[in-house]
Amino acid sequence: MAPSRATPVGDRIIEPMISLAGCSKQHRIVVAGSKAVELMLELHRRGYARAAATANCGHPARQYDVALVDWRRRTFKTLEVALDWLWSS
Amino acid sequence: MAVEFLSPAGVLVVWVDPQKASANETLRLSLEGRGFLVEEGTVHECGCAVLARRREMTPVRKAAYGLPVGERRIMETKPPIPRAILVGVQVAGVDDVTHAASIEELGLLVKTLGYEVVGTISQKRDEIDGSTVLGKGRLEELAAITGGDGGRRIDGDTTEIEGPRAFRGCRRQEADRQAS
Repeated sequence: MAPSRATPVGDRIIEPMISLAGCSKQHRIVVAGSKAVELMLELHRRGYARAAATANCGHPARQYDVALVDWRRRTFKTLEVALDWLWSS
Repeated sequence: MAVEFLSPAGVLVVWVDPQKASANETLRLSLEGRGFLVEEGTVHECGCAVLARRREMTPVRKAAYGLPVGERRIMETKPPIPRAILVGVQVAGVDDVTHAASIEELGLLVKTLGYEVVGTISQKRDEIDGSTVLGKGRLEELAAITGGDGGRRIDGDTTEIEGPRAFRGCRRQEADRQAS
């Protein structure tokens, strides 16, 4: 029995990411990447109600406890741009 | 002026495609150049990830934030257990008790195959539809759970299609096992 290809986007990495980051459901999480909104919705479905995507994360105010960056199938150069956006000082 | 989204104690997790060790080293150097220290790494079947924290989070400051104070370590994670939804069709001539027993047996077989059973969908029908097995309503119900397309794509890739086929395979394996 092959696993369904209809698995929601990010489903395979979301648990390891949560585990690695040690996220609790009270943490404020910002998700970056091409599927950031889908990952955010997946986090909401799992009870992480304070998750936001880069599209709706507001102004930078050191308000997030965790940043999850899904940079699969993207180049390292664009990752550096994203990291600068998340963390430029 | 600093433009930052992460709190001083915040953590950054970056997930990338499987890559060579040299590329991982490039990522580590890039993060360190931005004031992060890579604390953990994980290798997964669909990529690898690193966890980084601000360098200025010294052990004393970590303790103040209630964070674990330890050495950098590498963590291997197991792939997640695949999940399955049992689908049963109770055709005419099959009573409720027999149908329930079949579903229960199917659950055991699926578990033996390494899946975690997370739900069951059952439907009474006069006969099994050759293309989608379930009726439109039940397919939509299943799609709502799996994130599938409700059987509109009939190419054998969806759980809705795979389930009965695998079930028949299980029954054959079980019969072979009992015969041997």
